[in-house]
Amino acid sequence: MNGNIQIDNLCKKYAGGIVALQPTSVAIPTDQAVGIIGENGSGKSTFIKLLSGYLKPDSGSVQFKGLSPFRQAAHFRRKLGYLAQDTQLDPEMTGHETLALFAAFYAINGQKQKQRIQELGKEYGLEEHLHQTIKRYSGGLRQRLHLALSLVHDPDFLILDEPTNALDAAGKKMLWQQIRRRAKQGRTTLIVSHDLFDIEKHCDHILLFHQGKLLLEGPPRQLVEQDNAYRLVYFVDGKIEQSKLQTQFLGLPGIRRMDVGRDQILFSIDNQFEDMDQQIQRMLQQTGLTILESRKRKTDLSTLYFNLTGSTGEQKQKGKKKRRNR
Amino acid sequence: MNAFFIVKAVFYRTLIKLLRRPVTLGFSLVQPMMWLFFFGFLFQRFDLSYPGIGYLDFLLPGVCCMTVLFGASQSGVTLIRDIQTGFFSRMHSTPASPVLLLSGKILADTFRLFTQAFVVCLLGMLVGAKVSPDFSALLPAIILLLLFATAYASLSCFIAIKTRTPETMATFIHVFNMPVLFTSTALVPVKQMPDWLAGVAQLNPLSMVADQLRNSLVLHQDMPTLFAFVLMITLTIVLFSICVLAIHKTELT
Repeated sequence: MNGNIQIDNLCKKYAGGIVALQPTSVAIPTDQAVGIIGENGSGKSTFIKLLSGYLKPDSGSVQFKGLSPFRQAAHFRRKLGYLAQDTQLDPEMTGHETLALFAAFYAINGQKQKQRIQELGKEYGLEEHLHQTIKRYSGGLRQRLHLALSLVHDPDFLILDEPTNALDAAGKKMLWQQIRRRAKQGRTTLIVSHDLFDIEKHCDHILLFHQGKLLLEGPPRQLVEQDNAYRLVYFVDGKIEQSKLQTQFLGLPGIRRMDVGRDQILFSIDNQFEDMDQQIQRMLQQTGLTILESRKRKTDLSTLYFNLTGSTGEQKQKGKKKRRNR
Repeated sequence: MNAFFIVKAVFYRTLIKLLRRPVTLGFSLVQPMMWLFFFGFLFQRFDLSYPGIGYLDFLLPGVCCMTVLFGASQSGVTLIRDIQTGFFSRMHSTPASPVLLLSGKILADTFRLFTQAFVVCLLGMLVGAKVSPDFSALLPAIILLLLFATAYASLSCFIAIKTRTPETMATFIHVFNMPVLFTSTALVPVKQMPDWLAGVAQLNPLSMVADQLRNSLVLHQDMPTLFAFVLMITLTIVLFSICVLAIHKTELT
């Protein structure tokens, strides 16, 4: 490890006094894949925009290998690749022209430029499309081109905001392989994503934001283990009365949280209460529900996330996927 | 050295985008030709007091300058599109300095405007305007025209960066262009104007460019150029600089 991205007291307010990011200090390890998670509006996009120098902070500082995005902007930008979530490509240009334009910005010209565009085209499956105008590209191809653009100068520090958007399974696999390869080469990648499963699987370190505040940071396995909990998931048939269930279950010792989906109920339980399954099943049946399937799982990142933020969106999505796959 | 490649890349991008919109390009030539036709033939009997020179001959250099004025004022429109789609902030997030990004764009716009003015001049000659170029006077006139195009395109880009809405750009185009055009000598000689307007016209940068171009193509009179050059260079530097400053001061997200 070559040091940290040192962030001190970084803070940003938008017009009208809306606090997008509360004063945040953290040392993010470099030369790793770092996942940034949080619900919509949690401050993660503001955080990376500040890190990349896109936004100017109200206070605080950022240092990456001795460079500040605000004071040494040009030097910093040479080392930075940034894929913003909300930018579009120019539909009237071809992929090749766009890559050539950005390559020129990083002093990659002539034969070196041609070679780099060829490499990127091959790596991102764009070879056959490079000479088409971007308005003919599918969403997935556009995202691949966005990624290729961020990497045109092979940066030391790469920030990707929702990079898996519009990518198919093969595209996602390719992206994560690229991110792991970069980590092995000693390069830093920050990835903002709602895909908690992939973040947990591929990232060495995570930052969790909630309501403009950095809530938690560390290696995902370590954070999950520290949580000291497991979860029980029940797929049920019958009318789920949430308020009734809450009254029954939330007072039970060991149950930290309960989340109710359309056809499933999830419990997050302290590790020291190991044998809750039978008791919960019995109580659910007493409420008139038929249990179709139950699963016991170790706490993973999504459970931790849901415990800490109260956000359930991903949890429900995962549940639905599993039901479909059964 | 890389500055050259950055400017070249942005220059090339601006031009290929233009060439991929042939309809827009075509319409940009239709408007000056309409002015040439309607004004040229409407005021055919207008007494210019220049022996042997018809109004159409007199008008053609003015319409060439007007083409540059109208075209330059639209320079900011494409910038707004780039800002709104985030493409500009993406370019701005690279080490390429905003000075170079703007230089490439404005140079390409200036090149396009000069080409358009040249085509309008040729078309004007085809419809009957008589032109006899004095090449020693034409070069300074062209340089002034290019400086004017750069200055006005910079102003348009400044408005674009500050407002970021196409609606405001449309207002700017109408509010600025008409007074600049009608208080200049692009359409009428200064001696035919009321005194107050003649005073304004003589200080209008468009008049200076139109007079120089007209002099080199049609009138062939002795004409001082130093003041026009000093003013136009100053204007170009000031407007380009405030445009660059506006980019530095703005968060383009």
